[in-house]
Amino acid sequence: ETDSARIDMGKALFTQGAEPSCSICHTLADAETMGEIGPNLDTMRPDYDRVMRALVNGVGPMTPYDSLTDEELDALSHYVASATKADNVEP
Amino acid sequence: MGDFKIGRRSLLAGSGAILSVMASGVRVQAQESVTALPDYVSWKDADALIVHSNSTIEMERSAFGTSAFTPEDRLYVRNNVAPPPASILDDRDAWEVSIDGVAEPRSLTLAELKTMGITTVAMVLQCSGNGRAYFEHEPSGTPWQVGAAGCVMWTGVPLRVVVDALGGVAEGMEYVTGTGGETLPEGLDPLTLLVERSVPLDALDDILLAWELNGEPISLAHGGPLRMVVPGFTGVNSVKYVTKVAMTAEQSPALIQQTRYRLQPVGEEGGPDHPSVWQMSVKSWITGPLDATQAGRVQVTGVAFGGTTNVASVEVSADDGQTWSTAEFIGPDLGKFAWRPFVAQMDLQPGMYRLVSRATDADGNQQPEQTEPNDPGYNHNGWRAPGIEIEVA
Repeated sequence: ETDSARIDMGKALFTQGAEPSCSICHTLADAETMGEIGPNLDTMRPDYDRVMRALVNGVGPMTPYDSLTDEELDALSHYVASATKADNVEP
Repeated sequence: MGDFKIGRRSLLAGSGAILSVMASGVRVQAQESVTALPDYVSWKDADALIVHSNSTIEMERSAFGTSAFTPEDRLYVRNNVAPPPASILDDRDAWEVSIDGVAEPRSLTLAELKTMGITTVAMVLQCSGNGRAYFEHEPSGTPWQVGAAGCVMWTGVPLRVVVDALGGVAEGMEYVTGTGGETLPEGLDPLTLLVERSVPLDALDDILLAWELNGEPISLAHGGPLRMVVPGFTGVNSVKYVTKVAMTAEQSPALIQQTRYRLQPVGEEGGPDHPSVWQMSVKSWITGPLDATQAGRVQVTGVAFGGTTNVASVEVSADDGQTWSTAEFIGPDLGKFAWRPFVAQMDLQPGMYRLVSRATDADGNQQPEQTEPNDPGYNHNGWRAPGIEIEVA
């Protein structure tokens, strides 16, 4: 699997695939989403592990994304960290 | 499913890619957070604050000083859901709150509340997750150190006065449930995001419907025009932009009540059977000195509070808890819900020191050395981890 395929999968999950969609609550310029309920990801710039923890454990009002596979969790974490130019985009 | 989740958690706990553990156990993010303040708190003192995200902003440890109360422009911010539009402050007195679960339920405007009674309470406002950075299992959520706390004065009408004016609590009610006025997006079950918290009815006599913070109308960031303030309880229980206050037989069905803000064991998901994050416990921390200092007489300062009862005493150690000295409280006693700044005057020779403090409340409860871990990292009050290492020259 190439990195671009991984990024594409993450972006598709962010905008559509994850249920509920990340875009409802989060602003992320790369995904052209403007949600204002949760933290603005462009300014937060969460590392891979921070995104992964939020997806797996939930955080604040965000509930765990139990339905995502390990591959999907990885792609989504990698995508958000990459799109926001976080310091660590890998586990 | 449970095993699968724990497996995922173990993988995460082992990675440690972004977090380093110092000798003290304090986790420090290698990644610097954003520094610019979001628009809705642009009036705050940026130099006194650490911006974790647009909805999680912590006060710098160096900004505590020795004041008995915290200026609003330094006070931490934590919003579970983005605040409503600032236009809700255009006509504060027209804000309406419905009161339910009483003999004669009805809506009241803020203007009417102001005619019913007025009191002021000084209290520690502390995020449930303050000190999360000191848990070693890397909980999900903002890695607050000590700065998700302040001591502020709220002015408003006692909820008891309002309830009595409406005929008293209806029969069979066990909780006070406050509903926040945040705007929720389409496309989600409202209960997943609704900010609605229930606290035991025992708290009724302490609760305020507050419209002022430190003598000024409450800002949008801190819940204006009206906030249900629950003294002695963690910040999430004091509902901002409160639109409804109900005496209820059951706790709110919102996820923020049912599964979030629960004290479940590490590796488990939270649920109604786990204790809710409600009352705060006795706690203290050092506020100065934080950096290298000159040998001789050193004023070691900090803040201490009891949660729901008075803090009775506090001790300070310069050798990481091997020997303790009694500190003195400074400034006025603002009541059992407030904190007391303290000072210990210590004669320190050149060398390395680790400063820690340990408070005891009026019921004899003392801060533990370490807090028993809970999965989400709430209610940290251990004395060892928040210690400060300094060099005396």
